[in-house]
Amino acid sequence: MEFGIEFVPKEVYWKTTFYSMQAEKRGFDYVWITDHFNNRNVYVSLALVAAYTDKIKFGPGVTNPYLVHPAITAQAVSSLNEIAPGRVVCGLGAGDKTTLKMLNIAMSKPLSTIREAVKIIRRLSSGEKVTLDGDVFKISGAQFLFKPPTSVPIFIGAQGPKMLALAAEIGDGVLINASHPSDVERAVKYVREGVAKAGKSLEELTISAYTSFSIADSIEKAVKAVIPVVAYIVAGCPEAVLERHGLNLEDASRIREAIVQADWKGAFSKVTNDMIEAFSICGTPETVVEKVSQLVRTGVTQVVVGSPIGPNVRKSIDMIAEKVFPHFQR
Amino acid sequence: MSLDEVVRLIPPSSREATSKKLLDIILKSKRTNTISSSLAKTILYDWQKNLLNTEDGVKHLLEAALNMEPEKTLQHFEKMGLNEAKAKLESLILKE
Repeated sequence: MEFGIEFVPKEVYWKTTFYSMQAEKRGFDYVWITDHFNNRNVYVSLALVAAYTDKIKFGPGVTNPYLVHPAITAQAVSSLNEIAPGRVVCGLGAGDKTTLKMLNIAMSKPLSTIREAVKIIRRLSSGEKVTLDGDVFKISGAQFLFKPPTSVPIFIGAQGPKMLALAAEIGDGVLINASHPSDVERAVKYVREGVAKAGKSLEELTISAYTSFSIADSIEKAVKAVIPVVAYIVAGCPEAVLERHGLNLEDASRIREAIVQADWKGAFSKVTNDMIEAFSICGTPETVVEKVSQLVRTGVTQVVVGSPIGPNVRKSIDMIAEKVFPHFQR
Repeated sequence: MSLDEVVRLIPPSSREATSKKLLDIILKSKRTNTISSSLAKTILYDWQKNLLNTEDGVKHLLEAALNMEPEKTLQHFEKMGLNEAKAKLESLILKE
């Protein structure tokens, strides 16, 4: 069982680097850093992680091929791989609609885009010369002028059935964007189908639950920290998923409207306990251990501790290492 | 009086707790533009080499915390009963 941790580089570089080093010291296996144009640059952040750590694996979690051409992603992860050979992974997904919309970029043909992007990144980062006449990308004889040290494993971020199956088929790992065991269980079913289609064995694939996570010594503190994150998840959540969790669509709509109007207080005040239960792993160490155990039973092999981590990130990282890790075989 | 001398006034038994508290002050502070890149990298180096609980490590954290959150830093010293160190810190702040 592996544990990853996600950091959002909305904080100044040295805080992200500090927490990444702490994660390594406390036994996490992966650091994932999010990639949104309106935060600090993911590869600048990762370069510091590469320089200040020695064994933890790390990568963008996740970048997208709409905003960053896959050749540039391949170049970035291969360059990082020179600083930290064998420790770099590449998380790739279709992106976040809200952020893409700000730049007037449409998320068109997501399946073809991801399939072709994976081909390009994998082959370029293996030092190959790439020609591709794809539906989305056209490449003629592209090759790096340097020799990448090793190829970089590609993890694909996915939520819907088709993307999950594709991720399993062509990825080295899948990052399932969900926190609730029933959502993860459903996703793992599609992952199994993708693996079967590709003639791969399930063991070849790292199956990760990329969760929203908040741990503290009291439930109140953990909940307070997770509310903003859950508000955003609910606001962007498809109606079918909300209904599956028995959540009120009107409540979700009110949260969405409040966020659009930048009425944070209004949005956060409408987040219910049921929403928190559906979209996060939140609570004291005992609760968290139980919830992570439920995820493990679905077949995931990595749990990613995602934002907000807890009300005090430093203390929460220590708490996970001391009170959660001992319950899982690692 | 320098920060080195202030750090020497912290009993070794309180150094780790002080280091953790100063870290929390720094990590929670929004006033990130008040710490130099050079000092931030020194603290990352100390962290990498497990030196944050040493006299030098605490000195670097203290310098950052004083720049970022002087009042909270002084409050911590008071709370820990490190009154002599707190008084010296106050005089250092006044000199600046």
